[in-house]
Amino acid sequence: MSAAPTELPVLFFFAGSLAVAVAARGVDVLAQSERELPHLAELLGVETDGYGDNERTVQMTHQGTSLRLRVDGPVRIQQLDVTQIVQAPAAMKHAGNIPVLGYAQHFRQLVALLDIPRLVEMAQRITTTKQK
Amino acid sequence: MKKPSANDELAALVAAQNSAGDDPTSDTDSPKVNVVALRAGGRWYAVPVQWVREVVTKDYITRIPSAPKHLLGVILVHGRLVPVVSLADLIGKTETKEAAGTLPRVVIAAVGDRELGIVADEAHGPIEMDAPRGLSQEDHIEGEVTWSERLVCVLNADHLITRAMEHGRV
Repeated sequence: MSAAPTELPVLFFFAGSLAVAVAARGVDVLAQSERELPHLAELLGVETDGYGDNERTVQMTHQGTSLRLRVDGPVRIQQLDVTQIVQAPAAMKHAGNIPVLGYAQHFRQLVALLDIPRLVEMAQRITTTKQK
Repeated sequence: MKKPSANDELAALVAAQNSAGDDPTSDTDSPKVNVVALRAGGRWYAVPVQWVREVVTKDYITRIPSAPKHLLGVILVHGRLVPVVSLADLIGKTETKEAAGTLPRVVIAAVGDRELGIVADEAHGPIEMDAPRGLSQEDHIEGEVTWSERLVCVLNADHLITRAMEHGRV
């Protein structure tokens, strides 16, 4: 059995004012923002002051299903070290369908580490509801 | 019997008025509880000190995506991630024009390894209060007590944490 990695490349970006990151492998970043796509902040229920010029499109894939979203930049790829991850509070461990794996401390900022499968599920649920 | 003078009558009036504000249920032998008092909007609450880990100055709160409105986010306290709630949104909202006596605080309540930050417009304590009287219909409220002419809801941190995080199931 191989040892768990102590660092992993992640993609940092923003949903409004919320700093977020996802595991970089399997995520594509497209230079141009596509206006017709949903914004990550809307999916997460995070308030924004409007969307700026710094938007990008990211594409995440889970079990053959792709999710394309607008996100706020800057988008950058960096190594996340295990020591940056902050232990989730016991009270939060059973908190439902929150699409967050945990939080990491990046410089003086807390970054929400998003769970791609959960995001894809959420987007699918919203699309299904809209179609009904 | 000597008729009371106008001064005696005035003194009696003053004495009656002075005692009118006394809480008839309060006496020096009544059981006491040490609490941290906090104001959230127009309501005052108290958390018994055995459930208060610390009180910190309110700083930036990092949102929890898709969390319900009362769950404001998380803060980092000495390397621990603590979920933070708005009591006004969890229990009921009341506006106030009361001026704050302190900077906004987060009162960190803890039961075992479960912690919850409660946002307060101001916080004071520890303060010795009469033990709360009356049983509340709500599990997360132990009872009510009068403090400085204010009605204070004494919180049960155990039930409050459960309630806050149960509601977190979205």
